[in-house]
Amino acid sequence: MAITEFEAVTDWHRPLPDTDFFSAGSVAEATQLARRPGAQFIAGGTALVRFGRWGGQVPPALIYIGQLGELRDIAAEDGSVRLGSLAVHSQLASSPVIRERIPLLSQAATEVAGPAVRNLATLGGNVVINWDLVPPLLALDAQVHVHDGAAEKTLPLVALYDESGQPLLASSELITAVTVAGDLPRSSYQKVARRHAVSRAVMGVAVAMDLDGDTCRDVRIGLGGAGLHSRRLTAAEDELRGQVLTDAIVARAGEIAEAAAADAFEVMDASPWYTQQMARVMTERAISDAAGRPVV
Amino acid sequence: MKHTIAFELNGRAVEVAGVRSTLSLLEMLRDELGVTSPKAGCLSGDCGACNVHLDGDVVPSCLVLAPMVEGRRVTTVEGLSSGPDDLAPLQEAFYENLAAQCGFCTSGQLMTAQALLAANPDPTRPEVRAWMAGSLCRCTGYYKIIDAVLDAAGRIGVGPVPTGGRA
Repeated sequence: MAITEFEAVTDWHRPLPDTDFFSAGSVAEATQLARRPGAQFIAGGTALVRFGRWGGQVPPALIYIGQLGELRDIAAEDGSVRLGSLAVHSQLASSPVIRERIPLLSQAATEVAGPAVRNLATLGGNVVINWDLVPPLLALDAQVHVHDGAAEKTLPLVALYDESGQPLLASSELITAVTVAGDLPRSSYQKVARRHAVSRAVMGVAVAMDLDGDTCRDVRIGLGGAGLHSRRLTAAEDELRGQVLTDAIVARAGEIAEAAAADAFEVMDASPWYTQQMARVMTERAISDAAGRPVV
Repeated sequence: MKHTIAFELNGRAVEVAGVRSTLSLLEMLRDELGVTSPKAGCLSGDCGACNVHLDGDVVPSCLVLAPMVEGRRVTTVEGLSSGPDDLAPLQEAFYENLAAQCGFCTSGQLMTAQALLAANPDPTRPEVRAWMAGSLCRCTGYYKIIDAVLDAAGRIGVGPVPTGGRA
């Protein structure tokens, strides 16, 4: 670790720099306020405050949206579930609708941070910072609803990010909801981390699957972690679809995952090599677990 | 930008003037209001030493900005009981099970456990372990803390602290 990084880490008791802070009373007001130069939305604040203390940028104006209760609703719709962007992780973990219709998401939400942070951290925040819920949301074919103050548009989550994993959102564009499909009945989320509780996933792999006997009728796989931007694993999905799930084909999917993680980057918790290995291992485990096969 | 923040602290209305936007709830409690039970540990939401209740939910006060607290209810260990001679059942259980050693994490452990027992008055040992995972202790090795929470669950009157909030 470079000395400058060390200093940044040991200096985290310093106060955060001051900034402007406005509480929005509606989505329209929030998007209007966010047109100020350098403005950024803040909801739970867990990521922004944490990274701010670690030396990250604190924007000159914070637009607080945590009071927009209408963005906290979770509602079952025809074949899908609409999740308000301000639903916090503890809601995602405990909501009866989510536990019944999309257990993959409730399981993954339970594995993010600790219970206190889960009471603050929102779904929308997790999506914006491309964190650990993104792989399961990709496996659930999530659609993201974005409001710019004038109109709401909907785009697939997979299209939300650029090549460096950053969200393609203007500062006044607010994620209002995420809709996920509950079409594939079997699922698994497999995470490896420094500490399983609390720590960010070094690798998280989510699989949603439909089986016909031992044959994979349909499957979606999302993976990502601290050292790998989240992505769909469509090449492995194509390999599995229509096939009987043997050890060999599961291993083949793992190899595809490892190859697909070739752009893994160095992070504090894992080397690129380790991230790649975990992409393979966790993909194999998630597929096997979703299919009800023994997990090795 | 300076704010005047009015909120409810342990059942009592308080107002703090001249608060900058990025002051944390933890700093506001400790430095502006003299409520020192929440401790500054990791300041990253990883350790649980600063955990308090916000509208009845346990949250890390180090990650909450002061202006977010406007009009809301905050409860700290000081709100669990009236003093050393009147410990809450959970505090008694911590005391009798030797669940505190240096005591730095204890306030956070108590507030975290209180939130669990308010929502789930009869948790299993695995449920206690999973819930307390975000509250680090460098002394006790956790067994006594888990024992204390389970012991408290068996006592009468470990209900929600009188702040309500969503379950």
